[in-house]
Amino acid sequence: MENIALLMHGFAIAFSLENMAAAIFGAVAGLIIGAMPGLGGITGVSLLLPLTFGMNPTTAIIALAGLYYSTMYGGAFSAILLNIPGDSPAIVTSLDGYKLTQKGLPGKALNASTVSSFIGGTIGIIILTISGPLLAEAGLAFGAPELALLVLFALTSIGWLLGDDIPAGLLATAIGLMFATIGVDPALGQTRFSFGQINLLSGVSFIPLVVGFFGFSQVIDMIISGEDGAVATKVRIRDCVPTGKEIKMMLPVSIREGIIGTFVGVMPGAGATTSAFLSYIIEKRINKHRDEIGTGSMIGVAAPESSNNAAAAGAFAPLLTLGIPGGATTAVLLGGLMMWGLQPGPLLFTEQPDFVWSLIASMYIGNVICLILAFICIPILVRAISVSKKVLVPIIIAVCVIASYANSNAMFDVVLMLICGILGYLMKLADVPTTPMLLTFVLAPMLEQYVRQSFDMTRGNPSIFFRGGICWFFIVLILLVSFSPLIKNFYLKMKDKKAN
Amino acid sequence: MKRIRMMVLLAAVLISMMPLMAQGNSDIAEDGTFHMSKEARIIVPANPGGGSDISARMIADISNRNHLAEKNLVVENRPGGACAVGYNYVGSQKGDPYTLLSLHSGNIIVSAVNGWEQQWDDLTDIIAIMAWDDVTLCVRTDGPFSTIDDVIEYAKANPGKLKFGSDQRGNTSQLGFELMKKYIGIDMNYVQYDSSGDVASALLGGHVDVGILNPGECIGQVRGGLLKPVVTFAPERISGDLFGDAPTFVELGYPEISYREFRGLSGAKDMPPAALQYYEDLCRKIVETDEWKTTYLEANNLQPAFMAHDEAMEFTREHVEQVMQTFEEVGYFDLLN
Repeated sequence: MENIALLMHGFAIAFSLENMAAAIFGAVAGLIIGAMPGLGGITGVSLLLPLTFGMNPTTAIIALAGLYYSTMYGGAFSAILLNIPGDSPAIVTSLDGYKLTQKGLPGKALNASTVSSFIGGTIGIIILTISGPLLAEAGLAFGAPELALLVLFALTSIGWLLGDDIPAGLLATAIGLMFATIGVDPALGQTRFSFGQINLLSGVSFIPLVVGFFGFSQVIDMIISGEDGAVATKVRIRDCVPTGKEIKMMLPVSIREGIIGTFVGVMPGAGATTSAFLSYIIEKRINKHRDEIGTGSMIGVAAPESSNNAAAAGAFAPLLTLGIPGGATTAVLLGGLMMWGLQPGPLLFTEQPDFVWSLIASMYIGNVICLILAFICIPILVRAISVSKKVLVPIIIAVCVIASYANSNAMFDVVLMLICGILGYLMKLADVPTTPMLLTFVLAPMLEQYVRQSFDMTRGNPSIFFRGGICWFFIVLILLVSFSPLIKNFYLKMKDKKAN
Repeated sequence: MKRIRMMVLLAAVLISMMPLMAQGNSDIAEDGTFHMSKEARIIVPANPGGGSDISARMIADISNRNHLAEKNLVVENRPGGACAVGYNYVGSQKGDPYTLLSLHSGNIIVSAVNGWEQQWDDLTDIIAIMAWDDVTLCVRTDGPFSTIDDVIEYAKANPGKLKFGSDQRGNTSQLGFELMKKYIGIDMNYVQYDSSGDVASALLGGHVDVGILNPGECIGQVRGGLLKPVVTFAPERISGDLFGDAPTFVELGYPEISYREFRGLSGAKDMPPAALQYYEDLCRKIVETDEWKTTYLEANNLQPAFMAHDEAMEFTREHVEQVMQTFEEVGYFDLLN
């Protein structure tokens, strides 16, 4: 109960004029940055962190944290409307989201994503409030072997992302893997396939790749196909509001995936993207309406959106209670804490209660602000994609170029984006799906790193992958998921035989 | 008409280019001193929030707030390629007195160990070394080890079992690992993480036995009683209660295991000597301010240092030589080829 009292005190500080302004600023900036193709939480926080140098740490963290979880809302927008994921967790959202847009229901998809984001985010914050330190301790149990198996489990989703044309899907996976191997390898520091390019030493940047494959390839397609229509035809506001039945369908999904997302967010390095993939897999397996997922279902939007917002909240648990980063974005925030003169570590909660609790309080407030802002934006966004392609094309091109350049202040990334765009267009012509490529590109480097670290620990002895309960849990899950179609078929056959 | 318009346009372009053409050496006054005519940029070859970023922002902030330089210093992040992108960008601005670089000795080692086409001293000149960033080895407080002797004893009894958590290869963290292996004669497993934050979390979770960290990277956990520094790689103990109890390897009888990381300011290669002198004086003024001593050194657990250009270059060359020799001796380069 002491937590509640501290939280109330936190609310008192968070409601001060400058902190509210910071929260609103963070929410607005995050929504815009998230919606910009390619620009996600990590870029947003990196861009704004220098501006907070010398600011009051509480106000600064409220603005940056607000920006971080707000990008999770914004990231879904362009994924749903244009099939361009705003940031990496939104790759999953685009699977069902864009299909809904093509069906003429972009409003429903946007509402589903916003509501489930809010539910997921709030669940994450509640868990953080009640059991932050405990949660962080639990996250520490995940070392390299456990994380390797977790990523492997997420990779099983590739099975149905491949599409009907399996060789084409496998080709896409291979291309993703090839992109992922470029750069300095994570175990020995050897450069691979960098062709002497300094800019390729740290690998192909995610932002130009996504912007190229999803955004720019779409532009090429629009120009070459030459139709002057709109992406979606006129949408009635009436079609945007989810029905009672749909809400009832989404609510348990959002809550379930919110809880899962929080836990994934706490694990070191896993983060929002992994959680989005995981929750999608889980729903695809256990949901009553699982057959609809992948064809343009609101559940397919709600699951990843709820869990990625929850993961963003969960990532704060290790940051605040132990002073270690939960993911890439919180790693930047950790630097921020030091920059503002705080000492991140287990004493932060007791020594800086005002800082910690007003941050947590501001997250509750910020989530409401995000929800309201997103609801205001939805009707405008829905209309925006009804504009003619003549207007849309130059805007998307400008956004693609700016997003790639802002990535590292280098023209190299713009050129890379253009190349990826052309490659993406060719893949579209050849009916090669891009999603498996992107999934491998995101997850394969993580898998490689965790596997190499595990082998480093034991000098190549694979027994480390069976070292405890968590490992076995994932091994069983992976086996179940991989062989469930086989078992199901076998079972059905047996049933048929019996019936005969 | 058209021709006149073209002429006017051309004239306008030429006039607007005048300041550019006039720049040349005009920043050097007649008495040979350098005067800043515009802002200078400090390039950070890493992302915001890291050690190089914080030191660059501190330098800029102290200089700007106290008007120690004639114009402001601004910080620009150019991350990528484990600092290669930033270093090579500064290298492309050869001779420019307005392009500076946040100096960290780890980056210099990377350029040499990884065999860059152009190395640190082809791309940059060190203006001054301004702080020591010492390196410690930490263990978990509730883990099996509580002193460095425990660690060494275990490693000797169980060769190839001790898990040594460290950040990326080819830098000073690996140097510490190799020196320990060689001079103590123990066999350990090098587990590579992306960042020292990841090393700290693997150490806290008990996934590695020891972790190599700068005091600034673990001070929160040390104060909170989760981690304990058992030894420092510096030739002297680190000042302060938290790290002061950790002995040096020199005290333990391993005088060869001794090195320090350092931070400071570099500039584009071949900037005019007068400009180099100007920034050298600026750095000297900065390290003397109270802000530098308290909000930077003390807060981040760094040790005070100052070496101007000539001394710093010589010191760094020797340091690089020592590192390269060690890496050569342990066969690191053979491993790669």
